Amino acid sequence: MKVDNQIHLETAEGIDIQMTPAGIGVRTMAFVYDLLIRMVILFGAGMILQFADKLGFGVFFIVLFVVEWFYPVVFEVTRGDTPGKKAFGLMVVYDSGLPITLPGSLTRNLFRAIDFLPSLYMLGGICMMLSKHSKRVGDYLGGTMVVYREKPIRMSHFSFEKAQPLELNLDSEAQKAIISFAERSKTFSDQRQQELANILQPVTHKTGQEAVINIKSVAATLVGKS
Amino acid sequence: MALAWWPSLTGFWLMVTLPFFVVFSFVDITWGMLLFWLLKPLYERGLLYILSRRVFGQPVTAIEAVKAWPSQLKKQWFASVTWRRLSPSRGFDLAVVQLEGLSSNARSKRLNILHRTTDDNSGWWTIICVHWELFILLGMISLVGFVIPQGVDFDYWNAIVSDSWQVEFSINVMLFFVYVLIAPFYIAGSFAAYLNRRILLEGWDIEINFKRIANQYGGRLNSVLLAGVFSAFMFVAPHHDAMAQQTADQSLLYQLDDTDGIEQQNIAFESEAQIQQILDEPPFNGEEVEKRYRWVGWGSDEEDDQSTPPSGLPAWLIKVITLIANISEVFIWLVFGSLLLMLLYFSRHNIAQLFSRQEKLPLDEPFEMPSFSQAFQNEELPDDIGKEIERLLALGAFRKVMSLMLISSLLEISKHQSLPLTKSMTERECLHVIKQSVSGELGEFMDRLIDAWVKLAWAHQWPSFEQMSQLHQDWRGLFPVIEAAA
Repeated sequence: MKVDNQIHLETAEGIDIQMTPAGIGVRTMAFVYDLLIRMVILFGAGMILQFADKLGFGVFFIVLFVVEWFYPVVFEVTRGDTPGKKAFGLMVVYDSGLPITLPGSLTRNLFRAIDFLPSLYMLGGICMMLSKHSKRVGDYLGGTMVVYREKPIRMSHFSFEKAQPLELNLDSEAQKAIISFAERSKTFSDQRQQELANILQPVTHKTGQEAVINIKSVAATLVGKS
Repeated sequence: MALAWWPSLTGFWLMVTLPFFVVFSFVDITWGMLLFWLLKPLYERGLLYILSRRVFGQPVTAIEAVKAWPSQLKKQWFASVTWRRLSPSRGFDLAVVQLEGLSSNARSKRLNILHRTTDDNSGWWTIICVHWELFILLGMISLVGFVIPQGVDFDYWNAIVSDSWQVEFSINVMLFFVYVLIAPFYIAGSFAAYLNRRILLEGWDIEINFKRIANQYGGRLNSVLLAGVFSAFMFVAPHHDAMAQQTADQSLLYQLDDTDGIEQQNIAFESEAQIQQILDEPPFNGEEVEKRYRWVGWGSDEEDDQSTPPSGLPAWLIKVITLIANISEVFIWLVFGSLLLMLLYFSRHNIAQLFSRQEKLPLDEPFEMPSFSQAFQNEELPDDIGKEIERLLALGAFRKVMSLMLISSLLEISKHQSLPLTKSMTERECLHVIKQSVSGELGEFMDRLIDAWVKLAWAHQWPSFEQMSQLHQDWRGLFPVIEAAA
């Protein structure tokens, strides 16, 4: 449980999928990364084409056009993210959470031209800050958003020693807290674990290490391990 | 966070900073703005005050925040506007000072622990925010540049470094607007980072939940808790200074409102006249009206001069390059033309349909058998279905018999009527479709056949031999064509 801006998309099967829209900060970083790659490509092309005089200019401008407009499209359609987004663990999806396809990607990248106005992406930046899912104008028109590419969640395991089972009548919030205490106990020091466990003294009637073990065994019951 | 609670955050920010901004602007336009910028951490404390309470479900309005603001300033206000002003992690550290109330050694120890992680992003957030402030400011300046008519020279650099009071003031106003936009995000982001750090480090969310459980079992009231958890964050009664300031602001606003009406209009007229006057003077009066189109050539004259550039390349190479250029030009046009033709060719049906008024023809899609009938999955249908059925019937392989009858009758019916069958259809759906186009004896037979099939295939009720032979008889009667073909 962290402070985040997750959104929940409900699928037709009634399952909630959680997604975290990427905020302005990380998207700026990803953009700069992509910009650097584009600049390297253009610089390389320029170096080679400068030997071809006027023809070189012409070809260079074609290259410029293609790179500027289709670099994100090609990457987004084939892989769902540009190298910059990949580096920061982002990907582009539709509002429904489906992977991006050609029409959406084209729209959102065509309207880059509006986001850019009047200069330095001011409109896009303000739009992103004021929208709930951090969307720029192109995202609105393409019906897309940029989200974090989440690693599949793995059940974390925790070790526990058998203790006297406790009969508790807990609501779901409380159950979650107890389970996450057990799962994350590795990241806390022993003292901190005991401190936390001592808070529950009126429930467990135990203190110190004994209480920690007790709570862990309750958590084990809750996740169905004992 | 900043978005969810923007009314109070932005409201607070405007109420507190606007008077400062106005005062500083009139004292000294350049140094005043610097002072305004220097004091920014102090205004930000109010934002953090709102956020820290909102997170725990305690609503705080902008006015309440303004009242509580002076009490939030007491702790280490001097340090935060001087040597800590430029600290990149200032937003992150602010919570330690303001909410935990730590100072000197305890503070630096605490910060040391909070920053001790592999992905300490607290500083980067500040840097990103500063950049966006700059981007938006420059964006607004260039927006002004865009809307200035073409006749007037607009020098961006001059606009930024200009000493003229009006220009500097308008830029300051833009900067103020940028701060209004960014500051809530900056503080909310920093505070969220701080909370997440504490949650990871100390299991702080767990602590809160545990306390709630303990409270429930202890029989105490829950409502005490929210206040109890945050007992460290003080709430101090309204302060007089803030009240006075606020009423002063309000009266100022009323005064402004009073002067609005006619006077405002007069000012508008006056300025319009002034503008007209300036426009009538020499640099603007070079007006020229052309009422006919004038041919200005394909390009500028310069290009013609450069047709034979004095390049160091040998003549033959130039020739080769020109040749390549000409050939590639022809080639590119050819490719373009053939692409266009291909496009037309492939979309000919669509185009034809565009012009014809005919209704869409039924597409002759391949007939799809529902997958349930595929008992002969990979086998070809036997040539002589009638004999095959008789043979199987004698063997007692009812499943295969029925499958064969089903397939052959579906095929037979579809020869006369178009059955919109798909692979994914179930038996009942299939029957429903058939009944729509077929009626009478045939429909009744299909009903019985499918019913028997369902019972056999899904319910495993083996049909009696009499039932089967009855079905077989009917089938032979209804589809004599198949028999004849055999």
